[in-house]
Amino acid sequence: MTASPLVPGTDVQQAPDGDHPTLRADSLDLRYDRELVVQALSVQIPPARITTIVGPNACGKSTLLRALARLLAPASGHVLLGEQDIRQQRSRDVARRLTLLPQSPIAPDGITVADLVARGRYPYQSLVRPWSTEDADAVAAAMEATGVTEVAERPVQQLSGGQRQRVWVAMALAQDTPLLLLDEPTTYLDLSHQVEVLDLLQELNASTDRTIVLVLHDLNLASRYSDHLIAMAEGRIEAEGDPEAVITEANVRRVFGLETQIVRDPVSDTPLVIPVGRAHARSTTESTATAEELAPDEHERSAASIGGTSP
Amino acid sequence: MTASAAVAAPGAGRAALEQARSSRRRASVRLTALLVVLLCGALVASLSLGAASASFADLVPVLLGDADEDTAFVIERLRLPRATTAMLVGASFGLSGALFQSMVRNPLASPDVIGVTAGASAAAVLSIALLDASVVFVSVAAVVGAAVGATLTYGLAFRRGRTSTVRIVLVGVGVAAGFNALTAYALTRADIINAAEAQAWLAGSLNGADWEDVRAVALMALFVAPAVAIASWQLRAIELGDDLANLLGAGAERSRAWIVLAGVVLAGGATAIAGPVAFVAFVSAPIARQLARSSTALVASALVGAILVTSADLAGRIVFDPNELPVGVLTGILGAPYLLWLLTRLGSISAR
Repeated sequence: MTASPLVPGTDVQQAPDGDHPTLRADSLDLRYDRELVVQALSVQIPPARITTIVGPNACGKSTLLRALARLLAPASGHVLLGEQDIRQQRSRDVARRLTLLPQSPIAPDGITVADLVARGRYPYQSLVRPWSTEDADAVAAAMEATGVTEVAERPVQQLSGGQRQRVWVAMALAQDTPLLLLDEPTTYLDLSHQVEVLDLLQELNASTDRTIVLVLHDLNLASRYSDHLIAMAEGRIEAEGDPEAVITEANVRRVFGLETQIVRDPVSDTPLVIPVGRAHARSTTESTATAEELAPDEHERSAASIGGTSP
Repeated sequence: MTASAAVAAPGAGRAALEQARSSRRRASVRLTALLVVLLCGALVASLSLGAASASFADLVPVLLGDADEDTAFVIERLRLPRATTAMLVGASFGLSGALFQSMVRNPLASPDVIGVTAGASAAAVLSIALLDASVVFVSVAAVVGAAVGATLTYGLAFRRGRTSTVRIVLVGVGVAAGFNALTAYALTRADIINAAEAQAWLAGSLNGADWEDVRAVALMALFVAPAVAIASWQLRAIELGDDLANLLGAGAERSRAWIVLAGVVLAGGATAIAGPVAFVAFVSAPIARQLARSSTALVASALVGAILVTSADLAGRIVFDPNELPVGVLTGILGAPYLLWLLTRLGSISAR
């Protein structure tokens, strides 16, 4: 397995703005109550790519995502969707171009899978025209893409955590927006379901050129699945760019205050972060040194012994 | 499972979706038909049962217009307007409860728990007891009182744009207590005849309901119908929570305004006519949701409310004959245990 670009990047770059509305933030100040959570932040989301925001707890990454999805009014600065301030556009127009899957949403009591996924079509519907064939197509496609077709008639609350998360992703997909933001879509999922959700997002990005923005906690999954990483700490962007460039021992130390060693992910050939931890802090520096010194010796000795015992 | 869905023939999802939608539609038509039949049964029983001589056999001639004068009087002037009022009042309460409960996503957020009905009662009793006001004035006062109750509860429960169910319920209980104090004050200040009238009204009674009452509720229903239609549509987004409503382009604040408007007019109007018929708004929607097995069931909630009030009024009229039990007493006996049960579960609800 060799490293390969997740998306053939060449043709998407020239895609017209109509298909890939750009999303960027201009010197944002974001507050919760009185507290300034994000300060003077500017960022541009690369179109048709998977971008992941990482950072320690309370670094403002979810707050930034909420502001990008116009759920939070900036104290100052702007979020621009296309060329216009997102807060000055009609909310229905915005809802057709951008959506967010919030962290652990709660389904209303008794709602079925098909009904919940169909709610994603709200921005295309009205009281006088409640349902169209496009709606049916989009909902069916979203349910198939996420593999929830078989449970279409089941109440959402009866599903397992992994299935439920897929249903919410299906609802976001049914909204059929070129920009899809997801706030920690893997929280509360076991490892296999985490990978399943991320695989799904990667396939969607590859097959439909959707722009995807994630908040993730797991740096290794983030660097494996993202084209672009944004590392935040204390409300600022500390590093940004290709996962190879962002995931370095120095950056992880600066952003998370954590000693790590970066090795290669044997499967995807992306950076893999190994935390050192206090118990190993001193011994690892010693033992790595020792290992390096001893290594040639070891090799020679074993080679010699093999050579010695062979006839 | 995922793999099998991925390789399924194109259109399999479409077929599954159509099937899910049509089976839901069929289920809701079946339920509506069942509830309509039950309501018709309650209506027929209300028209044919009672102390006076008119009976089931007399119904047909009355409807055809060739019954004797006494029977026609009993049915057309006494029972029909009363049953119709019961039906409309019950439907209004049921619908109002469904709107509030779905908006806040909690059965405790019903107008009779969070101070909306209490506001309507206080305003109505003030105008009956102290001003000796007309029916129209009392109705308008009740709707205004309901609006004041809703505004107070939501205004006090929201802090920096956020609230919780527990806050809404606790603040609502406080608001309701304040209004009840106001009601009690008005009763002590009124002269004895007005006070007695207000007291009877407070128990939630349909005794003496006439065609004027029917006209008043029907007018209110007509006025509020467009708001209910808009509210029912916006409920599809807002019942997913404020964030998702905003993300779907519904505008949480605007949606809430429509829903509260519709719910307040329905609860206030119904209270004005029949008094605060206890717990009908509170129990109708949960019963309807259980029957419908879906998140919101506005039509079913209205029908359940109508059935509840019509049959409770009938029971109050005939079971304790020759005495008459006000309809609100009977619905209270039904609703109070349910409220207690929900309150014991409040901890686990808010923990979700």
